[in-house]
Amino acid sequence: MNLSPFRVGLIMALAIVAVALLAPWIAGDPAAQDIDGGLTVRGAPMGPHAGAPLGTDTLGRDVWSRVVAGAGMSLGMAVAATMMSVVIGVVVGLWAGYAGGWVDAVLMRLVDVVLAFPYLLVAILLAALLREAELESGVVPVIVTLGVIGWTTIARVVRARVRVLRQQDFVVAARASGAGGFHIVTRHLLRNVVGVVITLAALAIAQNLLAEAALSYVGLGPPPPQATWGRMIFDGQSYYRSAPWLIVAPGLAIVLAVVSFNLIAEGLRDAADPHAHG
Amino acid sequence: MPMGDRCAFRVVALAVAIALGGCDRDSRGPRYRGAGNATPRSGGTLTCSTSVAVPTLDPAIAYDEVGVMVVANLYETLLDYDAAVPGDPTSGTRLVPGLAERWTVSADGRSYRFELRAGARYADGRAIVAGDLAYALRRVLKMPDSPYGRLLSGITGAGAFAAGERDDVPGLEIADERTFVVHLDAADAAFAYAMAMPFSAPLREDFVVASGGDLRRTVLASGPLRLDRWDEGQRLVLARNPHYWDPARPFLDGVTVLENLPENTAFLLFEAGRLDLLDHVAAPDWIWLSEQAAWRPFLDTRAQMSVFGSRMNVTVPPFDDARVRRALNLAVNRDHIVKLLAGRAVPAHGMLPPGLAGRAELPPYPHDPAGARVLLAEAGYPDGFAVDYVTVPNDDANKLAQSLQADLAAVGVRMSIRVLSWPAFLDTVGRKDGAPFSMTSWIMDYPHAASFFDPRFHSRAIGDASSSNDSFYAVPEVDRLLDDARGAPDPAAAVALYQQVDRRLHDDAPWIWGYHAVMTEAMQPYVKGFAPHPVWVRDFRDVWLDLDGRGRRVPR
Repeated sequence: MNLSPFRVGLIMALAIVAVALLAPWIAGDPAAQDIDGGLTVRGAPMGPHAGAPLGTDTLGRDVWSRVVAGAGMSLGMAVAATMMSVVIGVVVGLWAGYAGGWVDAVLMRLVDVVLAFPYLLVAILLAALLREAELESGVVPVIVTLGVIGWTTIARVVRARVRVLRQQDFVVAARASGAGGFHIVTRHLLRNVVGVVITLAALAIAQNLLAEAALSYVGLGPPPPQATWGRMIFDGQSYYRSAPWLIVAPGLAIVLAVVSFNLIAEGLRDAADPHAHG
Repeated sequence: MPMGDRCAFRVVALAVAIALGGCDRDSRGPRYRGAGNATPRSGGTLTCSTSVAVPTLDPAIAYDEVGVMVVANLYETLLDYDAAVPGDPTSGTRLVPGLAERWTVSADGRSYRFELRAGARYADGRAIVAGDLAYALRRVLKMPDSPYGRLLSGITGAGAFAAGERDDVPGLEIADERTFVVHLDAADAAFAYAMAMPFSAPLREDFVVASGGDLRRTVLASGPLRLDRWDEGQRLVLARNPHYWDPARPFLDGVTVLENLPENTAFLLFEAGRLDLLDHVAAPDWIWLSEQAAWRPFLDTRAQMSVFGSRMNVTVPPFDDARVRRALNLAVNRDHIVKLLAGRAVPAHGMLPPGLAGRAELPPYPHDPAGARVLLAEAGYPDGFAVDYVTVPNDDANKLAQSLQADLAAVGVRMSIRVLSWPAFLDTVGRKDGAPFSMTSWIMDYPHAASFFDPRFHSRAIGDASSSNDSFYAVPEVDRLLDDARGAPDPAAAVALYQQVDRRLHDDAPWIWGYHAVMTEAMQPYVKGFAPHPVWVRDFRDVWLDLDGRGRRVPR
């Protein structure tokens, strides 16, 4: 079997998804504290041992269970945020590209405005504001934050693509035969941007995984005791000398997940046919 | 996106490097040792650090831990505390003569008479006279931004003077150049402690006027050290005061305080031998140091005059029911708290830390989840309740909040954690309509029961905003006991009254009583004569450096 980067990425991603789905069977309760037995006499986290293959954290919780639970949390949030970005980005891109004129100008300036701000700073600001507004759940603010600022690249690429497509014969022909704008956009343009959107979405998942970790790291992720990879690194950072597994385990998980989606995106990009077919 | 892959490999490499770095640590120990001098040696400069900036050097304003520590070494007060002796929890909290050679209290407990040491001088060589003490106190009363005016409100005429209704304070009497007498409206056993706080140190009016009334950066030192240089935000350089009243001390030529040094950076510098003292050692570093045989002899702990826990607003449901508050106290496992803090804590049964007069020796609430459920059911919450818990962003608070969350979940109380910045935290807990349930702590102003109880549980301390009694606990009987204790001429009677308050608060449980913190200090092997002090934190008068004949450190 030819191990293309795409396949390697796909296998890694599927493995992570499988781990997340199998969590109830392959891992314990990520929030279960064992302060009596899961910490050394002095109160330090314990290294990898039978019962805790990746060691325990500062509250005596099983690091393996938390990494597995974090796979579900982190991937779930990254995918949900990406879907939100895709919807916004595709709608804006199609609209701007097809309508042209002042609509295009306004929407693209909006993209410029969003892009003009440093990504992480806006994310932190937005997440902090959303958190104040909605206290019950820490998951929704993170998804909305990442979804709302991650759509600009998709919108730009889709718009550029549509600008080219709308001049092409099949679109001109459809318009000449009396098809309305909605029909042309949904039936002819949308299916021609699907390939590039999927590639961008895979990249966006990777980016959102990192961004979610960053938000969790600065304390704006889901509240404790929820396990996310970023939060685990945050909680364990001061133990980097005496209990390095607290940051190495979730750190490696982030790296694996990000690399896998980057490989998938790369493979998709290479495979994508640069020519339109309508 | 190949760029992403390269980044990823760098992250992996970094993670591996950190993991390997962690394995190398067993070979480390102190880099230097003591030279072996048998008697204290004069000379040398000691370097220590703080994780924050020193906000001010004005003794009337400084109110934070670091500011007070620095100011206490610059300014000498009438009264002082005895030295901290390892193993004796009451040492360091007893008043002893300072600038005052002796002091007496009148039979009615309303007049304090202080006699100044002969020959006491400021760092500029000029004599300290009784009038300077009265001037310093009048200055505090006239400063609206001084947190200390409230400690002087019992002085006869102080209120009217502060309000601008009169030009003098009749309660401040200058009997002669070396005798200073303070008259109070009513007997107050806690007053003497105010005369051991740096804000009451003598100040010369002409000096203060010449510096425009602003002593933030200008220091008229009377203590063991004087200000040499202050690169604000970076380092504070203190030098020996040649005119200090005790000619034998301090032994050090000077002390340098590095500011804004994060705790983990401080730890690395200490290990590298570039810091002589390390305090506030974080849990992971403390565990690591305690496990190194080479470091263990150079670690010291001391119970801090503090208490930590969770405070509840007793005026709002479900916390208006004492059974609920007691249930939460029973739900908490205090052994877990001590372990999570790496042993740097003593379980608390109430406000007063060990060693403080007035403490009733009660056992802390036992860990009894079943008992807690019974009490909750009696109070009408058989299925528990949901509640928000507000805490602050630091490592220990984060761990303890999650431990509390698990303890309360075990009795059916579903607690969500909200982390707020310090200003936002103080704002919400100080208002009656703010967060009803939060982390809380108290560090004494002076080592006396009044400094623990009155600001946190007397109904007088309830305000509309920034209420220091932030459980809004108002019980007339407790108010009366606290007032009687302060006025009691006989210390033994006062102790009995404070013990009653301690027991009553234990039962009423306006807080989930948590723990008393333990100060941690690590020192280089050549640092001698140092012990963390319960009040002064760092008192440098007896500290000396065991260096070789040429004043150099001896490698290990």
